[in-house]
Amino acid sequence: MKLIHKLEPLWWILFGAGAFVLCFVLPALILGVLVLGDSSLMADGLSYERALRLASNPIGKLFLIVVPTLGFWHCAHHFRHLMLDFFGHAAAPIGAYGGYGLALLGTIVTVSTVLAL
Amino acid sequence: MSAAHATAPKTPTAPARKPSGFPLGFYRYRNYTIFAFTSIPMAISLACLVIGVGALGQGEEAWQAWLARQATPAFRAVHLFCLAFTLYFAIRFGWVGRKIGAGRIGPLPPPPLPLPLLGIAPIGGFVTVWLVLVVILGGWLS
Amino acid sequence: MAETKLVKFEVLRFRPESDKEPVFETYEVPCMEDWVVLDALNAIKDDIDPTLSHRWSCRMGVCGSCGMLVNGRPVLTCAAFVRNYSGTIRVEPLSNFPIVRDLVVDLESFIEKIKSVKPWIIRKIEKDAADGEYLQSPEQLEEFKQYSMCINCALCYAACPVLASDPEFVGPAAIALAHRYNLDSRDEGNAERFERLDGHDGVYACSFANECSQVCPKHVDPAMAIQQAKLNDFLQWAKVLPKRSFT
Repeated sequence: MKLIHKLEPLWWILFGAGAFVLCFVLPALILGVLVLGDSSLMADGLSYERALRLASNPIGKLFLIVVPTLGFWHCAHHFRHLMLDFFGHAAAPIGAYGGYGLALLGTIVTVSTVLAL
Repeated sequence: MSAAHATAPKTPTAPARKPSGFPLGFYRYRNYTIFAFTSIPMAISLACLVIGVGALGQGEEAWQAWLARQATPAFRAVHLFCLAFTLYFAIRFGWVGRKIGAGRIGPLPPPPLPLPLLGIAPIGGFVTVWLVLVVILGGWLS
Repeated sequence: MAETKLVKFEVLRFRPESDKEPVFETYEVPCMEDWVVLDALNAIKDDIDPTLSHRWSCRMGVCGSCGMLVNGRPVLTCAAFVRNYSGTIRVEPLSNFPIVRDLVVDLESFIEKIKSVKPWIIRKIEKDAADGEYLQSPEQLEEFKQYSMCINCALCYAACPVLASDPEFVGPAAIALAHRYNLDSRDEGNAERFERLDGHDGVYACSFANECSQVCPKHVDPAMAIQQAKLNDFLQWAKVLPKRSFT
């Protein structure tokens, strides 16, 4: 059995854990930071000093590592199944290696970015 | 199975037909496909947030510039698009995900809650945490 | 003479001796008000076209033989009332299975998958009859009873989008049945079933479309069984839980 198939339970638990984490935090992060981040509502909360303080805090760093990492692995697994649904087995390598490859890249970038704060 | 049945020649079969309306023709398959598609907008949002963390690490000017760029019409449209799909994902996952924990898991017996409640409770939990998180980000309590 | 209404049926035909591919044929059937689609198919075979082939048996929703697609949805034709449909009713054989003839599909793969999960009580040591019965409380029965209601109609396999692209997927009914035995307090065969359920054609091929549970006529909810089987499988794969009886 290929390694990627031997690790199916791992992909699935990352998918499930990522789903829960994203459900809890992503809508608020998108609304609070990406949509309203530049507004007067968030001017105090997301000022450079406060944002850096929140992000550099050990809990903040853990949050900023765990959320995108689990999120990327969740998205990769779901993307893999999306490819299978649309393109069948022909797309299996793209979905699996492409998806998980991007998730690995995302993990490395996330960890290095957060640790560099 | 009798020996005669086992050795009887098989007639040629017509190939299996795909489920009707899959992936986008039937509303339930369509919802399922959209649910799978949410992985792409969510990954985009996560990537934007990681880039934002990178900007934060580069100093105040980079951070403010990054925040301002997210507010431009093109970026705002992308973020609202991603937010819509993320909300759809959260509601649907909270609802269908109720089945994951509804039975016996190893030594843990099934929870004594009816299935619909097991679905509404997580969604309630999600909304609560969203509100708390937005308040924390906005710094409105301190 | 009871009143009948003329209803048009578009039925997929496939005669391997003469057809290169399946074709639709239309029949106008005088249907009584309380008829189900199976009644109409039998009327076609009795009075209009005796060459039509279709499977059926109990005509009351317990044998699982008469599963077909009606207007694209997998149903038991003995439970699909003609009056609930409007216009022309389209009847096709179950999707995701090769077609043998007309509305009859090749269920060999389905039967093999059911057998492959060892759907029987497996014990390390069988109790002697003289030692009495295996005792099971109502609460223990309740945990798996729903999954024992499967009538092997294969509607869930016809509805599953994963099977459309991965015919090797073990499938909803097989996993639900395996989970039924894994949850049974009398069973100790978890490890025996693990290999078939693990891996990319086992439980993890499921992408939780939930269509299997939507079409199940016995409310088995195989989707729920599969998700719980995934979690249990992970805990065993990660060696958090031992691979044996749960109780």
